[in-house]
Amino acid sequence: MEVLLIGPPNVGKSVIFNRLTGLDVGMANYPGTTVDFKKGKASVGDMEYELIDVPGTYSLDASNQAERIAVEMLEDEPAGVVCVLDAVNLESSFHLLMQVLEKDLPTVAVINRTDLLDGFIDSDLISQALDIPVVTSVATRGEGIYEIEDNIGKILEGKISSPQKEISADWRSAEELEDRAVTTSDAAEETWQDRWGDRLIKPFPGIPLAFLILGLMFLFVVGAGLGLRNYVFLPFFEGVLFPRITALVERFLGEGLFRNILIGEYGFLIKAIEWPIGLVLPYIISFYTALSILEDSGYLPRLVVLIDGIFKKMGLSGSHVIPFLLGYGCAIPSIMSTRTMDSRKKRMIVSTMVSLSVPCIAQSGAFIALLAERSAMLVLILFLFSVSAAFLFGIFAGKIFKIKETRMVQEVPELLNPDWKILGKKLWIRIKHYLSKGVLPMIVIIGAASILYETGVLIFVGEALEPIITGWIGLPSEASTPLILGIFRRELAVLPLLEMELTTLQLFVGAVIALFYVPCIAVLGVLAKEFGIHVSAGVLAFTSVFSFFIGGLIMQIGLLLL
Amino acid sequence: MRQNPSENKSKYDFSLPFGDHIGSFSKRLLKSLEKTCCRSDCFGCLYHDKIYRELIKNELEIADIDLDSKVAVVGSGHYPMTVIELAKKGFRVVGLERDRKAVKNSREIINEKKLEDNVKIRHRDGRDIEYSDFDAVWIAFSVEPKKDILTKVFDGLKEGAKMIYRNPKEKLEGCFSSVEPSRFSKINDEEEQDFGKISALAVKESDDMRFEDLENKTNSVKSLKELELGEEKEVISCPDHSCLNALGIREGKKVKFVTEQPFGGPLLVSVEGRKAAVDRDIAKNIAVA
Repeated sequence: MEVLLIGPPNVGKSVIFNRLTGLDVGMANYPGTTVDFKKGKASVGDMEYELIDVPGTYSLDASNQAERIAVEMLEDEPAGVVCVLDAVNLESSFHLLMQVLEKDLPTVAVINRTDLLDGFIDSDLISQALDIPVVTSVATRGEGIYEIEDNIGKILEGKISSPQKEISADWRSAEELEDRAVTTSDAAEETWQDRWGDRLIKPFPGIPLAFLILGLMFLFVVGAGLGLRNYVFLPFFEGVLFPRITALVERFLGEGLFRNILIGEYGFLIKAIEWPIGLVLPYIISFYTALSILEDSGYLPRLVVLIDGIFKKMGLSGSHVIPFLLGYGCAIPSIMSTRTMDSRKKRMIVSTMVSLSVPCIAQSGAFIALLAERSAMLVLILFLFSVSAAFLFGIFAGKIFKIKETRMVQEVPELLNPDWKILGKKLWIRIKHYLSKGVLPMIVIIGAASILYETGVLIFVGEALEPIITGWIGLPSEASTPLILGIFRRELAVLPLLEMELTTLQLFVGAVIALFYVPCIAVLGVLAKEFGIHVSAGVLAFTSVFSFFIGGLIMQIGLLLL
Repeated sequence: MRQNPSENKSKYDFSLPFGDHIGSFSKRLLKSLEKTCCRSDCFGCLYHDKIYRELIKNELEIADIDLDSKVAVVGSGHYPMTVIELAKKGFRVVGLERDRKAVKNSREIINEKKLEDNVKIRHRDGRDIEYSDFDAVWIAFSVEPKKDILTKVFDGLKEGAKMIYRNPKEKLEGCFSSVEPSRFSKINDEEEQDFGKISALAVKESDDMRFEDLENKTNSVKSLKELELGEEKEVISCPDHSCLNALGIREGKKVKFVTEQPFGGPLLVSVEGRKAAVDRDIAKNIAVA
């Protein structure tokens, strides 16, 4: 039995979803699309049902993918619909509700966020006018949740049938109904949320504050991620888990190629656990915590609006800033997050941009270690390089692949205090999603890579590249092996350079190559899964050629000038 | 406002009525390019294929017309690229051209391409014809006087019929005139194209606010984009966009311009306390008074 939870964005739909469902929740993919939605098991009395959190839509006009999916879900004969209305914006909520009622399904209307309205809503009048049960709620405080469950129970028992009244959705009747049902008191006092909500979206002080907020977020992600990684995950793996795995394998396998592939320097059994769980998961946790706070506080839509102008130059829209933010943590969740984008071309361009020039957190750390010693300026220049390369690539790719620019129409909701419990559940859903969808391609490709490494293929490729390294790029010949190892993990391309006696120019060139170089092998795995093996191979070829070309160019120009 | 040119002007004079020399030059360039296309089939194919296939494809996407529609093309030209592309898609097309030479040339090309069953080229001025028969009318990029022709065509359309025409992007606005589709109809759309063009669509509605009505109120009517910071006005026409409508940007609602974002970013407006960011290109098509 399926019950749909439908409503406009920012109405607190996911809060209701989280209140009604238990821990058995997850992301699901709508067949044939890239739209993910939440789905969870819930029960009333002894009746179990599945609650589906339909992607938020303002209408059922089917003018975008989320709306089309909402329409399809409604036409898929669910047991009933819970339509969540926004007490503060009842007029457009009524319009959506009327469109839902046209589908002739047992429906319950829930008017949420009644605490934010300074006025009175006559829910009996609405109930009579539309011939459906109407519940008022403040989901963040848990008010009204029992009544919602009660009504869902009645739907499941068949006690609520589809509405008998003939209803057709149009704006005039929605406006009329709001006029009749709502009495608002005089204009409310301006709260701190209103004031700061406005400040954060005006170019001044909005833009400086955006830098500040992103900076703080970055510090939090790095700090919390590093802390989790160094004090929780790695000690557990290196102290407890890995010695046991090694001992177990050594008991059954004698020395040789097979044993090395399993537990050698880049052994599969070790790395396939260490990378996805030990190294990446801590950042997934810290990053998604920060992102969920930005989301639930209502800041994210403001950031998206502030940055839209710049992204529009690339044919993208402000909302595409999210994969970039994620990419500075790790490219894998970043590429996975592009699933919400509306076109495959754009997804591929953004994924390539992230792969090409957004350094992941581990790599950023290595850059700082490598360059800051010589001069902090170099670090800054490198990051400017990263941002401008992403931007230029975006513009060129947009032109070449004829990206149609996205025109933004987006609501800017008021600021809210995030609810920590709900935040925790959201985080849980996202981590589950990463573990079930992101880890597998990483493991597969790590397996392939350990075979390549232990059989000596990678060393051989490194040696073959030597003439390019010493001639065009001007690095010592021993740098060729770390650059190839960079395929494994991006920071590995950087760290060995520390131990060679390099000039500042050589160091910088090494860092630039590592920046633009192939994303780590796990990213190639995710790219292959999302877009196919040919795209993955294309990104590998493109980033390699590009990084060596730019690196060499800087070296040659540097040699001329210095 | 531009003046209509006097009717006795030679039909070979393509200069703008207010005598813009650059405009007249670029227009001649365009014409001579088209004439070259007629002579050399290979060059013609290249020019036609590369640019117009994409152009028409995008226009058909926004226009969304049925395959059995009857279509007119005003100012079909020496090498009637729009006509050919539409005919290839299977529409019945009538091309209208006031230049006798162009009519002759284009008929030959149509015959060469074996499209004569679906295509008729008529020697007519775009303003002297009954449009109530047609489901969609295309109007060439460089017709002049553009505003006059567009108004006449749109007035003659039957209900539900569509007018598709091309405006220059900002860079070219000095040379070619531009008319916003929101002037004709609430149901309108725009689509950016390559080579400095923007395709515009206006759909005839029954209770439509006509061009003349708007013209009478010209002083008070402006687009949302032209509002001053903090100014509040009533929406009088607005594209049919589900998200806009849901956010309260509909006819009759008061919209306040709160702030705008730098680098060509969106405008921030508020309606009854609800805030929304609206792209500049969309805001341009929202008329307020």
